[in-house]
Amino acid sequence: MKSLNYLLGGPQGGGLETSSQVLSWAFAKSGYGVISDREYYSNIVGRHSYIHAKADSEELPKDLQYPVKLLGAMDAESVFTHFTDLDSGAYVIYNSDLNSTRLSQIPSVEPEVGEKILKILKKLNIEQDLGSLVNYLKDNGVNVVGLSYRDLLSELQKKTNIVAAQASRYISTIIIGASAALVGIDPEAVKYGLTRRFKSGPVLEHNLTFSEIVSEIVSSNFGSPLKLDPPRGNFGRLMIVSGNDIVAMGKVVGGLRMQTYYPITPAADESFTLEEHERLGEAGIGSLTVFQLEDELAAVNAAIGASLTGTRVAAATSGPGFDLMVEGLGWAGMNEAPVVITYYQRGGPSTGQPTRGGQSDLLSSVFASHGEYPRMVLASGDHEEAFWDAIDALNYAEVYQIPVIHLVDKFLANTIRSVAFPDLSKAYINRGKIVQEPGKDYKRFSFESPVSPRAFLGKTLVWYTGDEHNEEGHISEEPENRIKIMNKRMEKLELIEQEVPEERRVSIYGDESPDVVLYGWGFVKGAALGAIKMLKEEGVKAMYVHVRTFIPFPKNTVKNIYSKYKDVMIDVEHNYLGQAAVLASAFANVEIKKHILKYTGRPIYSNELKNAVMRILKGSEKEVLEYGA
Amino acid sequence: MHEKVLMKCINCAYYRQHPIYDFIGYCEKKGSVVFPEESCKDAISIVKEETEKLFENYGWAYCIECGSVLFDRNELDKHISLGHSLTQKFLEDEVAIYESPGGD
Repeated sequence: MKSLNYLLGGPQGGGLETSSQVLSWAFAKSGYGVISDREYYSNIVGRHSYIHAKADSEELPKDLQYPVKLLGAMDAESVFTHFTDLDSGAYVIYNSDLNSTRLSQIPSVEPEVGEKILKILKKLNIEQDLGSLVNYLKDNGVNVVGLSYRDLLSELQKKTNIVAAQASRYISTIIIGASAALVGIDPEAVKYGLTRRFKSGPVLEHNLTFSEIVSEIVSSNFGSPLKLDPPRGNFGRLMIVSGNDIVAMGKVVGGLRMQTYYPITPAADESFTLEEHERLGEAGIGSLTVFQLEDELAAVNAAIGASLTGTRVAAATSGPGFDLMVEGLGWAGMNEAPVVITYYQRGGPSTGQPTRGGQSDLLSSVFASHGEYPRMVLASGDHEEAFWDAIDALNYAEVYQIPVIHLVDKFLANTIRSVAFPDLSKAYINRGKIVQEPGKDYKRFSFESPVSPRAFLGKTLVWYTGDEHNEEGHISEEPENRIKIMNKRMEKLELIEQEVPEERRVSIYGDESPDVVLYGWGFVKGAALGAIKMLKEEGVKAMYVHVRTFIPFPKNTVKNIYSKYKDVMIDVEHNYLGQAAVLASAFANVEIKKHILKYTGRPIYSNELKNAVMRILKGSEKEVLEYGA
Repeated sequence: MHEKVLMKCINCAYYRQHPIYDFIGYCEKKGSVVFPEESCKDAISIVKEETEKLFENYGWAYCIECGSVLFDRNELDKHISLGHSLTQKFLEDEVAIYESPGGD
């Protein structure tokens, strides 16, 4: 097998993270590329979570797809929820002690989910108990690896004393050991993964032993039917990172000195990662500072305050937090304060779907404001882009002295991938115009140029106000001054238009003479690149236009491609309105009429995108996708 | 006073269920992992009056068999009459927090 699509499911808090991480590390250690997306409820513990992943022998995968060849189920709910995701010949690892468990007996199943599953069970004439479902699967080409988790644990308990307070670790290892056996992962790689996760001590020792026991049982009964081809990719040095992690790394490389935040999903993990590496000396001198404030109003204002002292700053947040930051951003725009907002999009509006993904905040990030001020809006499509965008955002903010909004979606934030170690020689820090020794004639907002040199609070006296002001920063409502200072600020947009090249704003993938053109942004990228390959197998040549900056917008490229392919151009997004298409209309005067949209909170899968494209090619104007539990 | 009888761990007053996996438990007397369907000569029955007293104090009880939290006294009486194992104590899980990404 070239690649393996797999699912691990279980109750939130029950060890799913461990299973996923250890398997990812083991695959990577064995030379395979991996991607894994975490889907979970916002109820924290007990509700159904799952990891949808892919291991690949030839490339570092960026897309997720169904059906899967392997399901590792920690509980009955995982089998009930995901049995329809299984490919023919797939393998299911499950707890055979739960055969008598009925769907209606599982309290964590959401009513709507339960009804949906029940409907499918009825249609297939399957009783509501797990045993009947498993028998159905067996009769329909699915291989069932039924293990008595209780007996396995009991066996282990006889050999050693299970650490009770970490009992879920052992459930994780059942999934790890059984999966590793079916896939034929090198036991040393599994050992590496377990050691990396558990470090040392009895829990590590127990789980190393337990993994071997489980693997032995499974391999002696089933062999390694899902064995991947030997790895053929020469990936070099790899990192296994989440989107949150890699943005944090980018910021560190980009010279960030202060990060502010108020905890919010899915943004907070980035700040937590930075906090883990915060090393402050007694005088507060050391690595960057991570500052958790009482809310997002304070977080953005603290960042702006630090910015005025010359500190390279960023704040990280999500939709509801960004809404609170908007007034502060206006103040930053008025006062030309460089500040980066890393904006992790989740399902909205309101609290919405805190742990689910979306791309519905694009228009908000571009337009949110009262009054007008220049800003840049970047959007990352994968981990590699997120790393470099995090650095670029810091540079752009200081070079143009503007707020920069860096859009990341939850899908990217919570997806763990194997990523090639970045070439750090390409990283640079540009702090823009700075005046170290401002004379008495220094004017912070000099009309001489759209970008006037910054002097820093703490070193010199500078006047700042939320009111309109003159060159010195003093309040002025005089009409001519208003025109001059508005022009000074807004002309930065023209400067940005001139200086940010088109190839930085957009990337083009796929066939140069396509039958169909996909237009998208953010996490759509992986699915689009995957779909292009699948479409090729169907004889369809496809191109993907990937927008990386919305301000400045790549209007020349979009106009040019639209002029040639307008009848076969499809907008692909994780929102209802087709917001990037709206911006294409606003900024490039093109009307993309065909849409493939998904707003369930789950990512677009390459296989469903391919199928939707085929339907569009057959005449459909709009496809709304819904696959995924 | 507890009455000493041979019974399954799930019905024993020493039994503490894992908060997530109902097929794993902990015996306070042995200080080790046990499984609900195991039987033990040291098991002691859960005294109805103690359950009721704890219910009055905590305001809730958990039915191990049904996997549900009971807040209503009538519900409690119903589960007691059915002979269900009710508790307010669980095995302490010190790693769930590391397996639970934020959701706020």
